Amino acid sequence: MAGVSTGRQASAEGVWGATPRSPLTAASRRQVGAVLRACVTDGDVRAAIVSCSPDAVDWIPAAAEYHGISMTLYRELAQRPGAASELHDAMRPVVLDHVATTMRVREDLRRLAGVLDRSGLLWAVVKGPVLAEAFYGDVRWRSYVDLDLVVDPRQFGPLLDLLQDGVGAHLVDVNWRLVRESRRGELNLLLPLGSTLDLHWTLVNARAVRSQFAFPTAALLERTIRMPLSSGDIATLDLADTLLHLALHACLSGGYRLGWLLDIKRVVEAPGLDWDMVVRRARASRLDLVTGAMLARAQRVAGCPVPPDVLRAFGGAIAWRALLRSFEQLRPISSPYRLPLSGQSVTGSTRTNTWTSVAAAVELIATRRRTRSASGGGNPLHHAEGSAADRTAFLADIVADDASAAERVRHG
Amino acid sequence: MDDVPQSADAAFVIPLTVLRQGVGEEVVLLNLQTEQYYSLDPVAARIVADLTRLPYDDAVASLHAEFEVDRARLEADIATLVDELLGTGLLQRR
Repeated sequence: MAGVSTGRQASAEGVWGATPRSPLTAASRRQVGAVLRACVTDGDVRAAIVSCSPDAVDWIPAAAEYHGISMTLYRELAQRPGAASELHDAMRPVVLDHVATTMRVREDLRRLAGVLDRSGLLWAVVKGPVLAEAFYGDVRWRSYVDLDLVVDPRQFGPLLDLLQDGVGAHLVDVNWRLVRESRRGELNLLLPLGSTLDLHWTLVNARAVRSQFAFPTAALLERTIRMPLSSGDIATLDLADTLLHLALHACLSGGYRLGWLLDIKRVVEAPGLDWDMVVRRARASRLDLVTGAMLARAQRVAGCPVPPDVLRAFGGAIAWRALLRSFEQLRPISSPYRLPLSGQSVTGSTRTNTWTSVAAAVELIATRRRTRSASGGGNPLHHAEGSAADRTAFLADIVADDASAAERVRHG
Repeated sequence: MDDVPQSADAAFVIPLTVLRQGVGEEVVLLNLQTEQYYSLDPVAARIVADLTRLPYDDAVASLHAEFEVDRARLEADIATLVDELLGTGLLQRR
């Protein structure tokens, strides 16, 4: 039995250490995976590093960066001087880059927060700086590269104007025709100090995916809380909504980054999380499969302390959850050859039940085949097209879209 | 260093256009005007902290007591560091 147990553990480490373009052998991938897993399970990182071959140690910085946990690993190394000093030194340039980037984002946030708060418009920050300061306990130990703002769709136009005219932000997504046609959930802006701002009117970007859930933004903003961050007293989602959003984001993104699972774990560990509310809101928003899938994965992979009755409450769609778990154990990360069926594509296809999820996976595979030869030409959203009428129509459409999501919540 | 207070009596000041953040034993200084960042090792970070909270002579005395190095050598090292930081806009004379 001990041999079987060890073999399973080794396999689990191997799949998480198999980052794209890795030149490593299977044994070295397992060693890298063990280091990464130790980071997210609060395990003995130093012991895992000591067990690594030299080629595995060389690959650790790239693998940690891929999984979004460079700062977590560096923290471990920095707190134990002398341990793995070469690895510490190898990671230093990337870590300093992250620190400088987050400093700039926080300063951009501080500056825009003053302007937006004076306007009386509703807005909230999600992910990045909120997670780092509120859930990782220290601004330094979770990296982020941009700022995500959520605003009420009814105030999206005035807030966009204020960001451009009052804050000095530059709108990057200027193709209003395409924005209207695709009814994108976010627009991309560049802030004065160079940070990227994703301005969301909804937390589900793709229109077709959004229509399957019922996660209205107006309701989220009515429940926001204020967090004392280094950039000021900043509005963000309450604890339950933060968890639902992280699970949704991780799942639709493919669920393959350990950093996403660690984010979920940190929020679950935060005092005051009301699990009944999480389950109730997840069901009302049709996010129960997505939330259950990511909580279960965070528990298995990152040691996230999810109560058993919560996992049972998210116990539907047995066939799809079994499929997710199979891919998680075999291939959570896409192969370098971007095979259409991978842990990423299967996880990212998760919707409201087995059938809608299968349909999404089939559609995804078909879309990839159609678009494989159609790449190039830059991001069409950055090409100025459309008119003021497209902008006006888009602003009206998103109000109706969010009202429709609220209706779906009311009618179950 | 993140919370090191700067004093009006100090010889130098970190400009408002420079942000600072400790990471491990180092301190990162980000110049928002040039968009460049610099990292200070623990010794340099301590020198900058003292120079921005104390009058110059007091800062040298404090550092001399801390590092037990020849005073002339210490002042030469401080001068070299200060020149570099002034040149990159990370420090200003009061």
